[in-house]
Amino acid sequence: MRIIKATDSIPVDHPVFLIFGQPGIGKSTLGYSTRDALLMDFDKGAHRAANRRDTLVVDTWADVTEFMNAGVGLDPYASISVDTVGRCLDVMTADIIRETPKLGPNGNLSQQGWGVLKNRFRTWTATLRSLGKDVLLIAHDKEDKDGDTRVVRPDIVGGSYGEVMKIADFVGYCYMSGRDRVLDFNPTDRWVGKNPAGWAPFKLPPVGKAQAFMADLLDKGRAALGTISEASATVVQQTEAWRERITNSTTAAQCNALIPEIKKLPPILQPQISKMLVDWAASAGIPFDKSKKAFVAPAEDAEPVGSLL
Amino acid sequence: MRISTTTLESFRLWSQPDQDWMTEESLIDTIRGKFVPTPAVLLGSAFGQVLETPEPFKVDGGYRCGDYTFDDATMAEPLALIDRRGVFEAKAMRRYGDDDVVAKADHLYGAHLSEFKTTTGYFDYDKYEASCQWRFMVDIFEPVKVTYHIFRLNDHGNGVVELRGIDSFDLYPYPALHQDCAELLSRFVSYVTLRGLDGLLRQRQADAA
Repeated sequence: MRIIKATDSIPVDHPVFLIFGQPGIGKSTLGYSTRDALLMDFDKGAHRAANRRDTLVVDTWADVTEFMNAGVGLDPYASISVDTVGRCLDVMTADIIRETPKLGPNGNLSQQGWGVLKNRFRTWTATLRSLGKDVLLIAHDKEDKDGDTRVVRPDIVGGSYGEVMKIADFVGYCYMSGRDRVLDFNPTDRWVGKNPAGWAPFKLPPVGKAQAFMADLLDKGRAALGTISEASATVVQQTEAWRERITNSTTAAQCNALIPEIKKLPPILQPQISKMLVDWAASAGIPFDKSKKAFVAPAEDAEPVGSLL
Repeated sequence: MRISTTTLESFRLWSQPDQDWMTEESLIDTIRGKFVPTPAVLLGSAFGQVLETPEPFKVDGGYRCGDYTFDDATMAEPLALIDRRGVFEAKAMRRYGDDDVVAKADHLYGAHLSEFKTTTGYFDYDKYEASCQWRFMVDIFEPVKVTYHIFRLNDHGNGVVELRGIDSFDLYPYPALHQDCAELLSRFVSYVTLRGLDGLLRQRQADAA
């Protein structure tokens, strides 16, 4: 058992990546480049991939549950590539309707059925993470027209699209730029993305040199999320130190003495420490005079609210 | 000029090539600060007030704010999402050239910024992701992460509000974010200048100085 203190960072041990792009661009090959990979082949396209490793061919959801519950199951694998997540959701949908036909009248999910699908997919990916697996979701792309603008998104049906985008820590679009294959995690007005690591677009290496590409990227992504968590924890500690100073300030003069220092704080701290001081002073009955931009003794006539900035 | 992120988001939405639900008159009203809240906005505002400071709104079995009632079961999960050590409604400003953009973060704790949104419809990830609001929030407050909490509500038309679900997701800074913000702001400044609304926004900047 490990206890993480309230002001400590929480590591993200197993990030979820979503990569989408055109058919044939090499997404399944990337799926095999994760560490100790198992590719769940929902799309029946794995035979076209290079650098092939272990593959679970999925016809029905029973293939997945049977494999996960059998003998060693997922134990030998560090990473699970879901190829494609759109087809995975189709297979999951068929299983939901098979189990509970009233959730899928005429073969299409009812509103309640969509809710069940979203919950079930979320639970499944959470289970994979809790088993210590990195998860790579692969999707085809889908082009929507917005006026004259093309917007490319992962091809995932209905309400499941939002669920997948919620779950994914990283979302990257794989496309051709001239003769180069490029993987870009940056959101633009032409495609969706998530880029917690702040990566520049990657030119993908030739297939023969890409055997550990995603393994490396998942490690870097894990490190980036860890850095984010640590950075936030550091600011939390600074915030808590300020809280102590502020709550020890019981007069207008003491509150005013903090203002010059607060004004020099970085953008993430300044607004919250400023608000913390104003809220504290108000609760302590120390009014803030907006025109003077200073706290005044309670006897003076001033409004008890405002901003230091 | 002094411009709010909500005004910039209205401009961005109005500028979308295929949109036909927002008139230019409505956009200009927003820029001028004329705003008539819709029932959905009033519901969101009431919910937000309870989320921020529940105690003043406590009544037997739940919370009441304005014309809306939220029972304990509806508010339990939303209230549990919030780290009470953080601050609500923190304001900040960033200067872009000669212009000031002002923003208000729903909740800040450490380097983590959270935005609370309500909808009486369905969850639409792209609607929130495409928004310039979180981008300006990131550019102005410089958090490491923005978390959106979307509360799907139903007031059944009688003010008794039920929580249908919560959708939460994280968004992150990216290298071209500042440039995206600056470009949108530049288009907005050109537009208000063309429409003769720049004086109003300059006056606001002078008043705030």
